[in-house]
This record gives sequence, structure tokens and C-alpha cells, in this order.
Amino acid sequence: MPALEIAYRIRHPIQLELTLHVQGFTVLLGESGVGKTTLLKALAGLVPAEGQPFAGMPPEARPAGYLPQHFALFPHLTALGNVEFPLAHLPRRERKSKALEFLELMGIPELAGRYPRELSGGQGQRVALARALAREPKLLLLDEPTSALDVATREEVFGEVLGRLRHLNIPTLAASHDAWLAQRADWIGVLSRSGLVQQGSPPEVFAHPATLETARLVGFRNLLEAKVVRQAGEFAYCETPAGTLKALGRNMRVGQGVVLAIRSEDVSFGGGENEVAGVLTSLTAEGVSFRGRLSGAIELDFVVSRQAQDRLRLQEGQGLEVWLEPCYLHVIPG
Amino acid sequence: MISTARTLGANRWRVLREVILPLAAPGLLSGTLLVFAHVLGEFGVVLMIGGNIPGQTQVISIYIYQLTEALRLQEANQVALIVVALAFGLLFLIRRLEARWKSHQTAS
Repeated sequence: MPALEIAYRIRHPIQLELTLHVQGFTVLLGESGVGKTTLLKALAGLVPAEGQPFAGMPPEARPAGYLPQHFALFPHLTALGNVEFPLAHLPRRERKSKALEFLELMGIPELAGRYPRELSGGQGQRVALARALAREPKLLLLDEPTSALDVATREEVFGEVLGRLRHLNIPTLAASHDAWLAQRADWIGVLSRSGLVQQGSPPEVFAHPATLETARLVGFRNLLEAKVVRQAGEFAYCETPAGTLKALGRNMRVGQGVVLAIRSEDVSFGGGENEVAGVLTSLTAEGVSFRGRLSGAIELDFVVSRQAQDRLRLQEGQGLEVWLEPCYLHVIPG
Repeated sequence: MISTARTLGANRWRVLREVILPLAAPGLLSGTLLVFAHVLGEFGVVLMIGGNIPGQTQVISIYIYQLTEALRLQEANQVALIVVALAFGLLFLIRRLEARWKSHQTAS
């Protein structure tokens, strides 16, 4: 898998210093405003920065392909003209055939004659990617690649693009706050205001978020404050307003303040350990499933599948017991 | 778009020539035509510092003024009609250009 080490220091417009491993398709996860875009721009040479790789080179000399959030296609050029732009060093005829090759690489040779205004979001993205790839970059930078796509179709649209990118074997860094995209990454870096807080493979980051912010970014909606009362093997017993809960966490100190995190999808109705009781305060349809809220000693957000709802027949206002399986309840140091 | 063009290997000069100028061209052209139409009707400044030498510094507005002064109203009307037609034609052209430019800019 293609890999690259990035060590950068940015002073302006925000202070940022980090070393990040880029491996295959890497997602830089972070909330808006933490400097994801700034880092990409710095790597592309558009924001002054110190570090490796490409230190001190002007943007036009850097072997980096940069895809801005809204693609920035040239509106006065056709798709083919756009892809020809970075190929200006070639003779005219060769330029055209080469540009067509890159459009074919993204699976859209039939769009060559269209102007950007005649392209859909997903098509525009592919043209912009073909254009960025025409530079034959050593590093590909994607800024929020899924934000301009419809949520309903992005899995299909970007999923295919991702498959094509993987074939090219170019280390890719995508800035995003999209947990869906992060799940498909080879490597994840989590950026917060204080810098890079965690990096690792998706299963690692998704299952063991190192900080509260990471937990939120990777989709944990239930974050409960707790205190460790006992550590036993890979489980920690933690005191919460809802009683003592057993949760997954190693090497915790007794008395330590922690946060217990569980995904809404992992709240179970089938019995087991860690029973929590309360009142169902809201239940709303969300696509084919339902999202509910349980209020009691603690507040819990949970998801009920359609099949489970057919069986349970939950109604707002009723009393309800749920179970937080210890293997899905993670301890995060507070 | 300008900075993206830089990352695509274009230096400042190429960005100006191939991105900025083509995109600014409709604006530049309609601006030029507007100024031309305005200057066509210029009166005061020319009268004061330009003098009124036929074939050299005589302009159409002052020509009309002179004809009116000399009570050659028929001729003055005819010349004025030419100016009106010219102004109308120019404005029409500018509007057409702007409309076309706008339809190019808006995404589908």
C-alpha cells in the first residue's frame, strides 16, 4: 500500500503542527474549523508552511493533486479542456489523447465535450479528479469529497470513485467529518483544535476512540460520565447515575473520571448485562428504522430496527428497559 | 479557482492568461462598450479644453450644439437621431452580451 509521512508546521491562518502517516486512502477526520482544509492547502502550497514533503516549493512545482471542496472546474472550458489544463507541456494532439485517457480512468469519456454547468455534482467531481490526476501526483488531496454529493446516492457515487482511486496506488489524504467515508479508509487521522489526537486503522479508531471528540466524530451519540470503581481484566466497572456498569476498558485507575460511550445502534432490547430503565420520551421514524430516546437516571439515544419495532411495539411515554452490552460500551479516559 | 489552477502546474502568468482573462472578458468588453457610449455624448470637457476644430477635435454633441445655435434645426435633428440609434444599438449589444455571459456562468 502506498504510504507517505507528513510533518508540517503551519503558523497562519491557524496554528497547527502535526506528523501524520498517510497510507492508501487516508481520512483526516475533524470537526469544521480545526484546520483540515488549511493542512491540505499547505500541502498543495497555497498556505505558507514548513515541513516535509514538498517544503518551500511553489504550488505549480509540487507533485500534489488538489481537489477543492467545490471542485473549482474552469467554467469556460469543457471537461476535456479542464483535464488538458495541467497537460500544457505536451504537444496539442498528445495532450488531447492523454486527457481522454484520464477521463476514461474515471469512467467518464462520454462527458468530454460537456461544460461544467452541464455536469451533476458527482460528474463534476470525477472531471475534477481526472484533472488532478493528470498532474500525475505523488499525493492526492481531497477536501470534503462527499459534502457536495447527495446523501442518498453518495455511497454509490463516491464508492465507485473510491474503487478507481484504490487501483491507482497514489497515497490520498481526504479531509472530512463524514464517518461514512472514514469507515472506508485504510487509515484515519483525527484532528482537533489541539492538533492530531489519534491515528490508526478504522476498526481501531471506531472501536477505541481516544478522546471524547473522536467518539463524537465517529458516531457515538451516547457519552455518559462515570467513575471507575474496579478494574478486572479487559473490563472496567464504572459508577454512573444508573448504577454500576461493566464496560470495555483496560488499565483504568480506580477513582478515575471517565466517559462511557455506546453507539445508538448497539443499545439492545434482548436482555443481558448492564440493564438501564427509564421512560421512552420520543420515538421518530428514521428511514426504515426508528430513533428513540430513553430518559431515566441517564439519557440514552437508541435505534430500533423495523423488525424489532414490529416485535416490541414501542410507544412514547411507556416504561422501558434496555441493555448496554459490555463489549459495546467503551471506556474513554475523561 | 485561481489557486486550484496554480496547483495544476500553471504559473501566475498562465493563470492570468488562461483563467482570469477569459473569465473576465465579457465584463471587460461590456465595460469598454459602456465607456465608449458615454464618451460619445461627452460635451463639457471637450468644449472647454478640446476646442472645436472640424475633423480633429470636433465631437458629435458639440456639432449638434452648433447646428442648434445656427438655427439649422432640421440638420441638428437628423444628427441627433443618429446618436440615439447608435446609443440604442450599443446598449442592446451590451445587454445581449451580459445575458449570454450570465447563462454561461450559472450552473445547471
